[in-house]
Amino acid sequence: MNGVVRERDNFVLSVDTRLYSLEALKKTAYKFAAVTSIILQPKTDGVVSVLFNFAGAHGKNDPERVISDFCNELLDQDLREIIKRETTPVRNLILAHAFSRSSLVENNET
Amino acid sequence: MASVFKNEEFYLPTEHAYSLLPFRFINLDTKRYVVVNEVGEWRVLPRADLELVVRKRLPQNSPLYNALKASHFLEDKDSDVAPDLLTLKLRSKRERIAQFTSLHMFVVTLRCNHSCQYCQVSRQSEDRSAYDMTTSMADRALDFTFRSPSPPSKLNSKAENPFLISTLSNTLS
Repeated sequence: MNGVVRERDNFVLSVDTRLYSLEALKKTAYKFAAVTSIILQPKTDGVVSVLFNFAGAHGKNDPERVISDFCNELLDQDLREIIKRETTPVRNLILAHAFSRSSLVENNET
Repeated sequence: MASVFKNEEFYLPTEHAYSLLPFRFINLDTKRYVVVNEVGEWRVLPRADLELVVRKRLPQNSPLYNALKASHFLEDKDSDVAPDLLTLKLRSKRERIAQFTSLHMFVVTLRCNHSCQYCQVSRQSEDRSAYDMTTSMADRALDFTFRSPSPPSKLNSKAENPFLISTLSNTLS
């Protein structure tokens, strides 16, 4: 697989944090906690190494498939960040208006 | 004879002419994604289309653009009422959140000679009075009930044989 290096029991994927945020990377790693153990290690110049370990209970999983799915999920997380970045203000506005006449909003006039 | 008009693309809005509205997505399989907005409107999209939408490269003359606009996944300068409509829908849909709890259920005893299928309480025999609610417990439960911001519209006592602990039931009534 391109971009992935095998180091004994580990597979290492290098991710440039100028392209994908560390937050997106962590969310992706968390999502894959059930199929592999993942360690994120900082390298130089904003590059982060993602170490996939398939030892023990994760041994039956196909590393190539898991890492491929990981890359797709990372792209998805990147899209989610774009949506969040752009829509958070209007989402807060919608929620504030929706509940403005309820007791969920503090009355500052008293 | 040369046309006095330019191609259709010339008259279309420029790139980034629409804004995204809040929504979430998750993959159904490797190719299809379901997108859902704050009020539960949803559509299934191919991944390529999802990326076009988010990166604002979706052609504004495409059927998908109109469908997403109608479902309040995006808005443009031709219609800026989407946030207001979403607010109204959200207010209606989530009304119960603002209302807080209005149904309070009191399990005053587990002793019961019935086995009603709808009852979630584990039934105890008639001599197991250790699970009975005392009067002080009932008072505290009522205090808690009336601390709710919403007026309690319904108090319901469950899992009881009323003949066993009728005094307490009457107190709650």
